Amino acid sequence: MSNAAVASTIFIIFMILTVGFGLLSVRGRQPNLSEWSVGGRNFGSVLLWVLLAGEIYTAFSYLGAAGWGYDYGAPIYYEFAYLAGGYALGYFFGPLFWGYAKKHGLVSVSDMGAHRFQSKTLGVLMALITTIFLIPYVQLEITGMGLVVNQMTYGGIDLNWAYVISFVVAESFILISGLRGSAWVSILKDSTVILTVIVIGIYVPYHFFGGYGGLFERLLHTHPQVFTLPGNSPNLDSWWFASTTIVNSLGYIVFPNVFAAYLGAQAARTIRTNSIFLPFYQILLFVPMLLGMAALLVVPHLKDSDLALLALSIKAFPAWFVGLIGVAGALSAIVPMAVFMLVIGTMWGRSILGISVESETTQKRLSQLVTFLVGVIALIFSIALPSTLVRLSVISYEGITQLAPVLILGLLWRGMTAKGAIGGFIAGIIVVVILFVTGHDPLFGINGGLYGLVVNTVVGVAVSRATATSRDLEEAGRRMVPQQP
Amino acid sequence: MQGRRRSLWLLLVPFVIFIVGLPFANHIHPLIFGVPFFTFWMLVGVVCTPLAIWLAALFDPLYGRRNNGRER
Repeated sequence: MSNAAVASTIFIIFMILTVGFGLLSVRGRQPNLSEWSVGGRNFGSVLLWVLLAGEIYTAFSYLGAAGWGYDYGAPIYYEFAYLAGGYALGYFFGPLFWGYAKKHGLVSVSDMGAHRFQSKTLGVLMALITTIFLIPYVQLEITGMGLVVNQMTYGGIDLNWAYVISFVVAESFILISGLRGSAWVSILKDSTVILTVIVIGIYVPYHFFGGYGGLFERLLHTHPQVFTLPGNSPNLDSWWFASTTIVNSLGYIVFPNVFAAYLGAQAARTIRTNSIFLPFYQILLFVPMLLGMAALLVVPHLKDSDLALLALSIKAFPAWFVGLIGVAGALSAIVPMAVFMLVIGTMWGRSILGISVESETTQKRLSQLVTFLVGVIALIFSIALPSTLVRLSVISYEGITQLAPVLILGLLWRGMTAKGAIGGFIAGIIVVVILFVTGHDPLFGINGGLYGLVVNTVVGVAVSRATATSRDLEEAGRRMVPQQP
Repeated sequence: MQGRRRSLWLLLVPFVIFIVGLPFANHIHPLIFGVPFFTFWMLVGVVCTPLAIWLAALFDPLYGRRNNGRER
């Protein structure tokens, strides 16, 4: 068999396994809304770990890590910094969110905003704006998967077909099995990713440079600048690194897919235990980052830097293992993509379309419908207008981080009012968008999202102070007890 | 209740390593076992983060508590 046939066959077999595995997870479960959207709040430590690892370390983050390493060098280390910060913050805030959602039966970010501030307007606003920033991410995963699958099957599977396969596989299990399906598929994903990354991480440096010693020696000789900030970039210096760490670590804990995983936890302790063990997964990220930098020596002048890691692997491994890397890459796209679609669906089903619907069954149907439509939209954009939404994704993280003051202040401070939350949120989003559109992000070297967060918080606190009545305080106080489970 | 969870200050460790440490760490030399210093510093951060969170949990009265908010 040709290389393309071997790799394609392995890929197809694993995709069928994925769908089967995802569908199997739902057996014997109640088909209600909270089971579908947050796994019936019943995930133990292990399932939560695989799910979060499955969501965070995406195909895009592996390719992007290698691509940034190739283009810029050390600035890519910001991924370590913000994830480490996010895990630490998650230890404290995760249980806070979980406790409030559990007490009031809530299933999403917008659901929580609407309930805490008793404002349907805020729920609609949060759901709408978050959707606009998340859909580009769905598309990034689809196109990321297309790239991996096309490369790793030696062109055996065409780009557009790879897009369609990612859509079909992700929709088929997420529509039926919901968050639990993603958690189960994550088991498959994390095991193939850990296996292939470890093999790549050990063998590729040995194959090309005789080991990591040789890799560092040669890079230090020819490209020493890649090992410090700002690397090969014009403006990604220490100020940018520090401000992005703050913005993204706050963004991490309110990112709707991470948030959904928190709500899926069985107990507060599960989330806390998870914060201890999840950071270890980060060690794997050194592989794409360092190999991205090392690719400068082996495959200089790449047209698309995101291909750096794949180009090295194809040169070093036999076809069947290349196919397995393709599977790991594809699953790393499918899991986060499915959860993004699920959380968008859930927000619409509860906070927008289902706003005046009493029945949870109808809300679930509406959520599933939107989950399906979001996939269709992202697929169409991937095939027809590939670069349109991707431009927006550059500020997606900064935009979604603007949810943080609303949710964090909202759960820590009973004085925060609906008007304050709405005002602050809108102000933060406006700042982020204006800085981006006028080309001032980063401004004075600092991540635009940080300016947004400051304005967001100041406006939120000021308006709340001005508008809070003693009745607001009393009612908010009652909703917020007990604060820390 | 919040006052007794003093160990949670340890959750700031990753921010200290990755932000406060930047001006001291953003150098190539000294090489540690052939690894450029800034890259080595990132490894230190990646390894110390789970240790710090674990220590925070160890002394967190809410972490050791029975039931931990589970209702059943």
